Amino acid sequence: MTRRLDAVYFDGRSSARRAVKLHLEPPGALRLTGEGVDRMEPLSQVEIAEAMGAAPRRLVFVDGAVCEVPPQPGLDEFLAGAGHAESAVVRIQARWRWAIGSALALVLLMLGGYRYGLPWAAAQIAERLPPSLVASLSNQTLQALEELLFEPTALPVERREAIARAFARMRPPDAAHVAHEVLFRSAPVMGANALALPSGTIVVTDELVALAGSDAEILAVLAHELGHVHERHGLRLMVESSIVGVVLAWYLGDVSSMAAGVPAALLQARYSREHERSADAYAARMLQVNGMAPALLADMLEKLDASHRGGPAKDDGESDYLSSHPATRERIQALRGAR
Amino acid sequence: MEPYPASPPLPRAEFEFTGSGGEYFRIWIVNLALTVVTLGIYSAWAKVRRLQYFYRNTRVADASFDYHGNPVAILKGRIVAVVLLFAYNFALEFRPVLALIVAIPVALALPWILRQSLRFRLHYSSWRGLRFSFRGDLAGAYRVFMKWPILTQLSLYLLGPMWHQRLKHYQHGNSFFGDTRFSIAASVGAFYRIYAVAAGIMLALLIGGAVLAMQLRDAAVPVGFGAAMAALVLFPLVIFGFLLLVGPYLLARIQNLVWNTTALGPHGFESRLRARKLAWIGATNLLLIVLTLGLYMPFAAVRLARYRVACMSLLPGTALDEFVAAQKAHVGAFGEELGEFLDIDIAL
Repeated sequence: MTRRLDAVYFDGRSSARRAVKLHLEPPGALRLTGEGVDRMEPLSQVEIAEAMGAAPRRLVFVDGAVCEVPPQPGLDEFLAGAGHAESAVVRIQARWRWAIGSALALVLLMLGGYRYGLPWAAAQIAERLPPSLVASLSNQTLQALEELLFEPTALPVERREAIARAFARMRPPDAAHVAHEVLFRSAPVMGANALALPSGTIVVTDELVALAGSDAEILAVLAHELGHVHERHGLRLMVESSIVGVVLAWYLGDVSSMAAGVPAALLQARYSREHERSADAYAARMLQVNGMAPALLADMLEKLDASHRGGPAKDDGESDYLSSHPATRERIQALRGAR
Repeated sequence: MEPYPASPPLPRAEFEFTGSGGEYFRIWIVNLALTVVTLGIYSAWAKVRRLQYFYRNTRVADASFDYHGNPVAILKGRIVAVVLLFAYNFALEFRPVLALIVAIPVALALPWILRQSLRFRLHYSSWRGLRFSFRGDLAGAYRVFMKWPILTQLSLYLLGPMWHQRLKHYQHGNSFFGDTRFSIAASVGAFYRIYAVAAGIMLALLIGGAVLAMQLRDAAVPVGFGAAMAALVLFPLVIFGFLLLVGPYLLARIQNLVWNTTALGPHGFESRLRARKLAWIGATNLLLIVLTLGLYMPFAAVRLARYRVACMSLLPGTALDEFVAAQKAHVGAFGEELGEFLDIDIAL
């Protein structure tokens, strides 16, 4: 190893700059010679900093002295001869192919994480949220809904109690009891609908009660909503949107706003098809163990579909209800098929 | 401050930035991918690599700067900062009283945190084998990061420029290179003059926007539509006006003022940033970042760094070989990381 490199040496005690020549002295030592400098150091005592583009390479000595080696022919061979191997990260950074590969890997990771990782993580977290937190979240959401959409129910108290009592008497399909409470509200803007909050509060609108052909159909809808509560769909959605919010906030550079959108996200939450299917399956099982037909829910879905179609149509001719329930026909058929 | 001699005894040393967008893009994208794969843990190493790239590619007087931050220390600081911020945000959402319990100590400790942040940055920066350091005392930190912000609020921002001047004096007057102290001589009046012009630009924008909006509102268009159009014009005009005119103006003028009055022992500095050029770089960078969905970000960072570095010169008073090292000190990374997460930038 006879090659010599040009370098600049700073002793770490003063800012004096000294031009030096670097050479390797076997066995395993680095020697610097130049203006008033003659230093020999075992290679094991010299830290060779990683490559940073075209910036000078830095050799750092244990006493704080530093050598800056500008880019020059033979530099890489010299450092390799000194026993230096670049880390995997540096080798990846040096090649466009790898950089573009990591960009693609990044996109795939984000998509995969969104499709599979996010629902899994959300389910895990939703499972572990403390009940007091769930209750306080649900209360906030209910308060917001009371202000935005709900009006006091016009149903007579006997009718409300009859429905709530009948539902309380129904056995859940699994051994697990799901705590719940049924509330009635008038919602002229929303129309016939029912919704479940993560705490187990199920809200049924007067409009839905009016639409139902029988109390059994209302019970079928309640069973469906109880399915959402049991499977913690609302919480999972909330956690998912919070995670997405955090990632977006980080990408857009505002970490402090991360928790601000949680109740709002819950308000806008829409269940996915899988969530609806699994709540339907839960309702079907619950109806069956109580000697009722799953088709009751199918009948109710049909009526809801028709009522929202007839409702205030949007410009594109598709009702709001349908756009959030794209597979209603499929669900109706599945429920009719369940025996 | 002593006037500079008509012809400096030594040639001026120009700062230069040797990095390239392509190089930094590769570091940036690999950093990003590894950060995602490691669920954020790698971000500490990514930060060190990013800063090292910018420091080592910044040169003056035949030597590069270097950054010595330790990724493990940065990771620890980040974990503490993230835990605190999550605790605060979730408490704020669900248990406001608990949020106060977190927020009050943090608010009281904020000056200490910011001082730690200044110390960390400088202690782990070096040039020609010597470390920089920040030795401002805690009392000074409470003055510039607590007393002055409160006074500024109380005075309806009229004392803002004075606060800025005090902050720069605290920052630059307590910074050291090796054992040599920086000094700064920027006057309060100079800060007020710059802010007065900035306020003037802002006012002109508001008046111009309001006149334009009023004309649009009165134009013969359906009722309601005109007012909406007016709002549509006025709002972005003010925002973009600030981003593209006032922001670059303040950045350029303040940086020039601060560095042109800063000295390091017998050596002076010169800063020649131009607001117009900064505005052009800022606007075109923003446009390209949006068009490329963020992929242009590393190129934009390099482009801005190259211009800002190229506008700096070192005016040596004597030979640059005579600085000597100071005692080394250990500084924790917590302050720097919390400061970063709280989105406080004291770079200006």
